[in-house]
Amino acid sequence: MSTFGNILVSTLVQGSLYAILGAGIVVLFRSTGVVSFAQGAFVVVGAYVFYYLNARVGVPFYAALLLALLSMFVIGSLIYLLMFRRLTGAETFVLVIATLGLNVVIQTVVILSAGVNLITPPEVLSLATLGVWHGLGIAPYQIFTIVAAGTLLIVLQLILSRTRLGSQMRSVADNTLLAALMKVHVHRMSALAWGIAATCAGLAGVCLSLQTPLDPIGLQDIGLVVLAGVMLGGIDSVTGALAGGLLLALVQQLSITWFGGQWSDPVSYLVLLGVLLVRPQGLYGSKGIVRL
Amino acid sequence: MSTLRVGAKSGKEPIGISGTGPRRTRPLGVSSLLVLIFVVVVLCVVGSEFDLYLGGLVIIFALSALGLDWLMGRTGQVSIGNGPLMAIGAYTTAIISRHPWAPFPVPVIIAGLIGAGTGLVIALPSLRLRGFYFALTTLALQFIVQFAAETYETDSGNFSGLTVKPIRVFGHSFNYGVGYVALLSVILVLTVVLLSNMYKRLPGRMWRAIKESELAASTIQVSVRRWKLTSFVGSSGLIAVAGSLFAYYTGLVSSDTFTLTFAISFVVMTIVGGMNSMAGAIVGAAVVTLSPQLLTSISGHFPQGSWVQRDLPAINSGLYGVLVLLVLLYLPTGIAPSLQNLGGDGAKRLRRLWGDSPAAPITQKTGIPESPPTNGLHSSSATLSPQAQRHGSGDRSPAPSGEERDERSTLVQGSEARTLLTIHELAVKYANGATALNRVSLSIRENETVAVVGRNGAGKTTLLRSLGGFFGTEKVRRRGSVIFDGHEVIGATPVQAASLGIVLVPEREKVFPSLTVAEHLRHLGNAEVARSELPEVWEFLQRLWKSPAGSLSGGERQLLAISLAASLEPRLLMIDEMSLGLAPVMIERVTEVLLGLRQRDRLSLLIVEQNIAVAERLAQRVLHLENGELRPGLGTRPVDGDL
Repeated sequence: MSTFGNILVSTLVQGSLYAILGAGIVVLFRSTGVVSFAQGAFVVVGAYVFYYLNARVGVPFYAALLLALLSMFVIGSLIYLLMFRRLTGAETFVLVIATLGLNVVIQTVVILSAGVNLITPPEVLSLATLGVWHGLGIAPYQIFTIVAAGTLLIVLQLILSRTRLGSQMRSVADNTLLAALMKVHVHRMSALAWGIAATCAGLAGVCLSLQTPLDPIGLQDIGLVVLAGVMLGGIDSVTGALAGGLLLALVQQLSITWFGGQWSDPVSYLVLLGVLLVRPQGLYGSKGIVRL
Repeated sequence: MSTLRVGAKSGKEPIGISGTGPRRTRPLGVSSLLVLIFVVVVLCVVGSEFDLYLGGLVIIFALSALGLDWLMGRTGQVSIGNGPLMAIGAYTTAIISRHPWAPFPVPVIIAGLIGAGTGLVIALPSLRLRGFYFALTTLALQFIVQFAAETYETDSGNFSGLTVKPIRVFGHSFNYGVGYVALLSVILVLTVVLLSNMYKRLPGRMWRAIKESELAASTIQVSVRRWKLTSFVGSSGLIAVAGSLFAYYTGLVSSDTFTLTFAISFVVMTIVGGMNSMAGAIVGAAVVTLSPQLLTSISGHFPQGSWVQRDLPAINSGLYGVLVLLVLLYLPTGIAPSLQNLGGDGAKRLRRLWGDSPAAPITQKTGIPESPPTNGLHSSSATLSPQAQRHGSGDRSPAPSGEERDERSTLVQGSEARTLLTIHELAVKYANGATALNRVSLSIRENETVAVVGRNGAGKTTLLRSLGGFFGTEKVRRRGSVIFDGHEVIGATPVQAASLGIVLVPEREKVFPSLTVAEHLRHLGNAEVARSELPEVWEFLQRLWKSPAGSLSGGERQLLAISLAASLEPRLLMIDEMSLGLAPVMIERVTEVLLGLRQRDRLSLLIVEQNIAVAERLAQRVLHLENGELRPGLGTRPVDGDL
């Protein structure tokens, strides 16, 4: 396969992962004002829950996927209802720190219940390329990731921009207090947003587990790197999460090709710094979002 | 101006401006300093070598945490940059201290300068951005520094890190033990004295102003840019100095040390100890550094091979997260301030026991003459209504004298006109000690319209907010009772109040800027009700249907907000500063709309107004709120410019 084909496919797959994860961050931010540093931990939980259901219990692939996503939704909502509800209306930086704490706690819980050792799940979707066409080859697990990202983004975008539910979620993000005064069920909306964010992370976790061994420490790094993509696209735009994710993946693939694998992360964070300096609202974000 | 006065000694708090502002800044008092010195002395006398080693670490981490408290607690910027900044200090020290031209204090000073320079660079993007952007910048710094460190170690062949020779002063070499701890303690005490002097004086006030509101600070000529930069540069320098000392102390600088977890642990220290408190930073450093040790020694008592022993490292690192969440959720001010408050409350209670201060929590006179209650729930209304009721413009205007008027209005309003809302001696205090309402009593009947007038800061908004509910995070203390439709709502959150049918249109942010007009009325409100109840407003808003509410004019926003609120079919509709900032034509229009709404069955209106003519036209009763006390409105003429 040609280098070009390789870069293209890897960019699409990695970009889809960032888009899925980033969409969760955007939805959570747009409905609750929380910038989540805890997506990485949810990725880990999603991957492990799916592995447990699929490989240990023997639930068929799609059923296990559905069950895993459902349980992620429940976990996310519960975390809001049990913890973050107490912080409704708190300052942004308190919320950021709370998500940092949450990330550590969830990660610890996973390590305590599943151990720190790498687990290599059985191959569910084939890792073998389906055949090469003009230097382009793609494997079933890659197709799954891209399709999953596309479906998720379209559904989320429609919910947020077209439905009653979406407007209510956005009203909570705009002004939590006013939303509450205007009879919007603030807690229900926030729980929903947390549930969606966790579900997105869970889906990213499942997709990751199709291609890499499970590792409670290594898997969660993506939760921070993805912030570079989210900021690049604009933290209040689902479209931005897709564009930013793809661009970030492209930059990473190029730097890996040109400089070597160890450059992937530092280059991502340089991108993050660059965005913050030059265009803090990102490509698709609204300008008012960055002002004080 | 008021933002600057928060925390000023005995400064009377202006009401309603920094309602939920932070607690008074607590400099590290002399007593805390004495406790600190005492702990260090005891440690030096009875501590084992390992205890002393840990003590030294705690002091170094405390220095670093003090730097973060400077940035986060005083200037309000979230940072997870302690790790990389300490790494910069540590590597600088490791590299420079090898040279003969750089004896002991020189590398520390250079490390501090380089740290300060880094602070300047990373501060640039956040000068014009919101809080969490700085957190992101420091996150990027973490990974970039870590990568640079790893690359440097690999390239220079120091695969397990760089060694650092111990500190030598006048031929005396510091190794672990009493001398080292004493040296570090001196540095810590000097830092604390320096910082507390700075916080007490001009820089501290500038940072506090910026933290409370950058916009407000800049309007009163505080150079936000300069002071923010000063804080970034100074705190980064201090943290790098801590990193330099850390390098000397451990004798080995390795990229394995400066992980993200390490960086986060300093945030944990600051949060756990209590932000905006130097004692907090030190207590936090001690708690976070020592609790894993404590856990390790406890785990020795568990049976061999149990899960606690097996997973000890994981549990230890998870402890950070648990500490953060526990503190944020249950002790929002942190450990040290909570302890201080506990001490303060205890002292107050003792004094009360001794009879020094007989003060009940709220002691000022009510301002409302007590008169014998007429009947049950109406008692507090009766104390007010005789003087307070005015001739309204509508046909429901009450008769001229006391009891008679009460009965008459009841008659006019029909047999169903029962009391909807009864406020009894409501007092509201904000977390910063400001009293916004002082024993206010009021009752509103069904279908009644009441207007409250009063000048800025009189507590009108607070009165409405206490009916509409406060979030727990707003830390507002309420006393008295508020009965709405048979429910006690004094402690209610906005969600609970709204579900009972209390809807408030706030003064300023009354619409959702990013939602369109259509989304407001269709998705948040009940479009059918909005159309049938206020058809003319519905018509008017049609041409703005697809515009985001953020682009509407003040009058259009008010109409949209009232239309949305009315469509929620409230039992009590409250409107704060109904006519403020509106053109006369628009005031007329909104007044007409409200007069129309007043005809609706089972709806009571409570309107806050500064324009007394409008208030008199709309309401059956006009009350005057001043200094947190409700007074009859007759004969008083509060006007806008009346200061």
